[in-house]
Order: sequence, then structure tokens, then C-alpha cells
Amino acid sequence: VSSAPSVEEFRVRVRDWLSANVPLKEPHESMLHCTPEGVARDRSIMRSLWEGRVFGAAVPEEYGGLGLTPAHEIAFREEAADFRMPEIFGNAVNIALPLLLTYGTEEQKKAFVPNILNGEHIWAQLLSEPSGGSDLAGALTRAVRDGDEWVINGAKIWTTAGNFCDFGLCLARTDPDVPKHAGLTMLIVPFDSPGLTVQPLTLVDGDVDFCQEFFDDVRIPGANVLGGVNNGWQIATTLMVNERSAIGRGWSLGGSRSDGTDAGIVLSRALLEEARRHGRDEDPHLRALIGEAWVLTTVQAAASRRVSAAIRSGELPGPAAALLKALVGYTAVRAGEIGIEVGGSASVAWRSSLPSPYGVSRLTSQNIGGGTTEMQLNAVAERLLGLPREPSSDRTMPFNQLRHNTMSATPARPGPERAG
Amino acid sequence: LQLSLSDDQSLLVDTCRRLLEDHNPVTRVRELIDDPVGFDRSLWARGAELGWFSMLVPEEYGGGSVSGQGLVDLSLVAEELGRGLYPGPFLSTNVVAAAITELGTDEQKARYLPGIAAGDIIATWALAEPDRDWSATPSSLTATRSSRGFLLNGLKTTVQHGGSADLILVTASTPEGPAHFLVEPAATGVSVDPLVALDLTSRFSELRFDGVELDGGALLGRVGDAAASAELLQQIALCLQCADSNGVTDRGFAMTVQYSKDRVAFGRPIGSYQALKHRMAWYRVQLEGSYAIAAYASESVSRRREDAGIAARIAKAHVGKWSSVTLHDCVQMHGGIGMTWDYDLHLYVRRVISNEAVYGAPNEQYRKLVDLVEATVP
Repeated sequence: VSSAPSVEEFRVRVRDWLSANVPLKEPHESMLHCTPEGVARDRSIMRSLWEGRVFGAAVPEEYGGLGLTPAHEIAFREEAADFRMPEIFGNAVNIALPLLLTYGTEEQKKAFVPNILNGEHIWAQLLSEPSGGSDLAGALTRAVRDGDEWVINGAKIWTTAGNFCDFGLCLARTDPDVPKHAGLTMLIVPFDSPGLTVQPLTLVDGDVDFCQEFFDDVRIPGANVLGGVNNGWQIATTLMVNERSAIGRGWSLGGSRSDGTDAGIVLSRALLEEARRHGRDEDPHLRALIGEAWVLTTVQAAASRRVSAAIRSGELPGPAAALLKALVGYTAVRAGEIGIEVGGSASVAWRSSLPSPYGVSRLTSQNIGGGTTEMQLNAVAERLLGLPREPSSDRTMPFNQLRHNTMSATPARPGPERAG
Repeated sequence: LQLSLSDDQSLLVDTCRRLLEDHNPVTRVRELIDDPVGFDRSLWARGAELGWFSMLVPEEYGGGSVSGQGLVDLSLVAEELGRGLYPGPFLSTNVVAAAITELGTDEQKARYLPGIAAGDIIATWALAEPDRDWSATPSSLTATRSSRGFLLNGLKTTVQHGGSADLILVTASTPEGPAHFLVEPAATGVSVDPLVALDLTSRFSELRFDGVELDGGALLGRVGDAAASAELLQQIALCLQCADSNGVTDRGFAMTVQYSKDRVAFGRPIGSYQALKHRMAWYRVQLEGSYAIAAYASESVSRRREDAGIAARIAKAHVGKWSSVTLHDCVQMHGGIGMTWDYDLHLYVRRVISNEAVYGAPNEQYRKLVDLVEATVP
């Protein structure tokens, strides 16, 4: 029996193994590759990380992990910073895996966790609906028990790479006669279930990373409940804490070089070189903007380290992850503004041979995905500062007596109208 | 609020906080507003017993710190002094202690360091000049060689507590480059002109040096070498200032959150309206960033890491900006009472605005970062 490797021994092994087996990230490479080739490549990298015994450091061995510690996992993330990670597994690793380990039955853990680590199963979150995203507990999608099965009807949206997913965590209403938070259940849904239709969505920047799903009498096994019937809100709350933390540290399966406290601050010269290309690197105003961009990214990284560590140690409560999510939104938007000012006209018109410039990042918003900034600020205000909620009856009134949306916020689904 | 503190560090923080609550309540802070000296020597001496002036001093001269990282521990103290609106020249005395520790001869160390650590010597750093602001390479205050040693001529401004210091570190220009000098204010030719300070808990002066004769023993370090050490001293000053601003901001912000829970309008607490609670949440977000980057900078400067210079500037830029933005909007969220002299909030706002400007505003720090990065090989 060999003893567990120290963090440093593990780090060295990870470094050597990654160099020999995984390609480096390319400059300007986007995080997700939602194409059949991109997904196939991610699956094969995921499988090889597992076979190389470098991934899943903190997952217990009986569920396919290495049985080491969170510190080993952080070492992996740091070493993986420059390599192409199988990011299509982001929701599987950042969201499904910790929830399965915390709330799953022994059978669920054995059935699902190893298949995440070995690259078999890509997972999705099935939370937001066309009728509402921020008011997540107001979900309309219904699940009704029928013998040994659940029967699901409704619609979900903003599912990352839904057209390539194998399983989803679906928040569904199982009891409409009680207040909204008390009647929800988290269900494990196989994407190949009959009656489940996936429709990709194109975003303003042309990316097709998200999908919406329609559930028409989708039947799943009765045992596919995660964390108990009508206990779905608790699972969803934990899910959102994990999600905010993961977004705060950059979401990637690999980390950044600044994840460790002693790696030192590294400032990218990209903006400075961009300004030089346009002959404007001596402009004091632009120089101040470039410095500001560095301040934003460095403070973001420092805050992420501090808050993540404090949540792990219990010095800050779970909802503190909302601090990071809110900060990311601000940082991204402000960095986009700075980028477009430094890039000037090259930000809005560019040769097709060049990568998308800063202007494109101003089109999108990191203040929506993963929970709007407004919801993060509510969480900070109410859970950290102890400020009162806006008065509302939606927490006490039975769900079926509440007013809710009847019109979808997204384009109608294609094909014939649904019956009923 | 710093996290992951050792038991010794937590004890240090708690003890400082209690000492200030007992001996520096806001009522006392207000009594001192019209006092030309502006702080109590008795509390200074009590602070010295807690190590307020000894953490950047070597053990053989009466110094030492609880964690072995003096600047990290001292930053914890600085945050408490900010939270408690402590009015004395804590920052400048420690910067001079660091200068003597770093550059002093054995004789200079023995002459000054034990006295600083014990609270008997109050020190300040004369850096800024009217036409050079916070540049570490001064120009208008000159030192020329004389038969006895050196002759100082020129003007320094925004010198913290220049009127009560027992020892002044003067950074001057010489034909061979910048140099530091230790000047005792009783020297002939030194005159002190008190300035009116925005921050009611600070005192600033202009110091004029008219042919001040110094002997060779006043030179600290070598002539021409002062730029590098001034950079280190600025880094230390920035770390302590950021910690101070964080403490001030934390306290002023907490007052505001509490007020918004207590104050009722249109039938409910004003803190329940998203128009206010989202702003408060946002300042909480930025405060978290301030704590994170200030702690990083103190650690980095304390350990003399390669990124110390940029870490201190990044902390200064972020903390400087958001402390002022936060507390200024805290006044707005209070409404009318926030504009009154008798309500304490303005004492906090004044202090962070003053801190934002002293040692260079955020925009200067942004540009300085680009200078620093350009000066390194890519």
C-alpha cells in the first residue's frame, strides 16, 4: 500500500503528466466548444485525465476519485491553468458532482460520479424557465408521480450545451398546494428520455452555447430524486452557492496562475500592446485605463481567493459567494468598456483574419448568466448584511394561488402548438 | 476584517479595539478637533505597550511582532486605528522606523529605534513637495555638502503631524541623486507652518528648511541611493494607509446599514428598498475586494516579493477609490442627518477622502502601474 502523495509531490506529477498528455490552450481560445468535434475532444481529454489519475483529487476513491484533499485539487487547478481543459464538463464537475456527493444516495453516487470523472456523462442544470429565471422558486415545470415513475411537463432554458448533455438536474414542482419553496423537487433527468426536445439558442454574439428544453410527458425512474421529495429548494440553494463560487474563480476546470496565494501578480500586457499598435500607448488617459483594468482583474482574483477560503473555513457563510459573482459582472463589463476605448475603431471593425476584438465583449453581459447581478445583490443584502426583504406574499401563499407569467419570454418553440 | 488570523493576531486586534473604545471614543475624537496637537500622548504610550511602533523594529532595538511578519501584524493594528478614528501619527512614525531599520547605521539605530518602539519618539516623513507631490525623487528641497556635513534648503508639504514630531525624515535631492536625512525639528532653520486639514483626525504641516546645517551623522543611507528605499517606504505607507481606510470604511458603512434598518419611511425600514439595499450590497462587494487586496499587499511587501510594488499600488487604487465612493454615498443614504456636523459619519468620510489623495490618487496609481510594468522585461 503506497501512502498518499503530498500536495507538492502531486503537483509535480500533475505538471509532468499534463505536459506529456494534454494540449496547451491556444491564445484567444474560447472556453466552450459547443460543436460535435469540440465535445468529442473534451470527452477524450476528460477520459485521459481520469486514466492519468490527475483529476478528481478530492473525490473519494469509491466513487472514482483519487481520495486526496481539496489542497491537491487546488494544485491540479493551478498546474492546469495553461492547458486545454474539458470545459464541456463544467456543470458536471462544478455543479452536479458536489451535489451528488452531498445529497445523493449510495446508488446515485456509484452510478453517476464515476461517469462524470471518466468523461462518459456531460451534465446540465435545468433550473431557469422561459417564464422566469430570477424567481427560480416560481418554477412552473410539473412532475407528477405515476406508479414507479415521475412524469414531467414544462420547459427549461439557458442550459449550457444542452444539445450535448447526457443528464440534467431538473427543478420541478411536485406540490403546487403549498408555498412555492416547499413544493419543489430536484430530479435527475436522462437527456435521451422520450418526450424531451432540445432546441439550441443563438445569442447576440453569435454563440450557440445555450439551449432550451421542452418536456412532454417525460418519464423518469422514481428513484431519480436528489435529496428528497419536496426538498428541491435546499438542493437548488446549495447549487447556487457552488455555482457562484465556481464563477467567481473563473468557472474553468483548470485554475489561473493566481489561484495560489504565493504565485504572484501577473499583469497581461495585451491592452498595452493594443494601445501601442494604435500609437496611443503614451496617452495618459489610456495609460490610466490600462492600469485600472489591471486593478480590476487583480482585485477580482484576490477577492476570489479570500472568499472561497473563508467559505471553506466557515468564516463567511455560503451566500458570500454572491459577492464574487457580483464582482465578476462588474469587472467584465468595465474591462469591456476599457478594451473598446483602448482598441478604438479596431474594436468595431476588423479584418476577418483577426480574432474578435474587445467590442464583441461589450455586446454580452456577465451580469445575467448564473443568476443576475440584481439577485446576487439581494443575496448579499439579505444574507450578509441582514437587510429586510421587499414585502411580498409569495413565500407564504400556496403556489397555485400566486400570480405568475403566462407568456414565454423567449421565441415560441417551432412546430405545431402543444395541446392543452 | 481580516480572516484566518492566528490566536495571537486575534488577541492583538481585540486588545487594540478595546483600548480605542475605552480611550478614544468619538466624544474624545471630537474634543481633539480644535487641539493643535490633535492626539493624546497617554494613549500613544499605551499603544506603544501593545507594539504599535515596534513591529518594524528589530528585536535587539526593542521591536518584534506576533507573527514574525511585522507589516502584516501592523496592518491589522492600522485597520483597528482606522475603525476607531485614532488621530495620532501612527503611519509616519512606523515608516520612519522602517527607514532607520533598513538604512541606519548601528549608531542611528541605537539612537532612535528603542525610543520609537517605546513611544518616546514621534516621527514623520517629509516627502511631498508643492510642485512634485508624492514623487520619490524630490527636486526643490536640496541638500548640498558643507564643511560640517550638509545644508538643507527648500519646502516640504502635507507632512503628517509635522508640528509634533521629534524626528523628521527628509527626502532631499542632491547633485548625486536623492538622499534621506534625519532632522530634529529643534535644528536652526526649520520652521513649521500648520495646514488646515480636511480630515479632522489628522494634522498636516508645511516644513520650511532655510539653510539647515546637518552633520554627517544625519545622513540615512548613502547619498544618491534614496530612490529605492523611498519606494519601499512608500509601499509600507500604502499598505498601512489601505488598512486604515478599510477600517474607517467598514465602520462608516456599518453605521449606514444599521441606520437603514432602524429608519422607517413609507411604512417600512428604508433598508428594505432595493434602491438602497442594492447599493449597500454593492459597497459590501467592493469592501471585500478592499480587504482581499490590502491583505495581499501587506503580505507581499512584508515578504519583499517581486510583485510588492504593483500589489501596493493596486491596493491603493482600489481602496482609495471605493472607500471614498462608499462613504460618500453612505451620506446620501442617510439623507439630511448625514449632512450635519453633529452626526459622526462625516468624520469617517473626511478620513477616507484624505487617505485617497495622500500618496497619490487612484488615477496616478493606475499610470504608475503602467510605468512599473513597462520598466520590467516582458
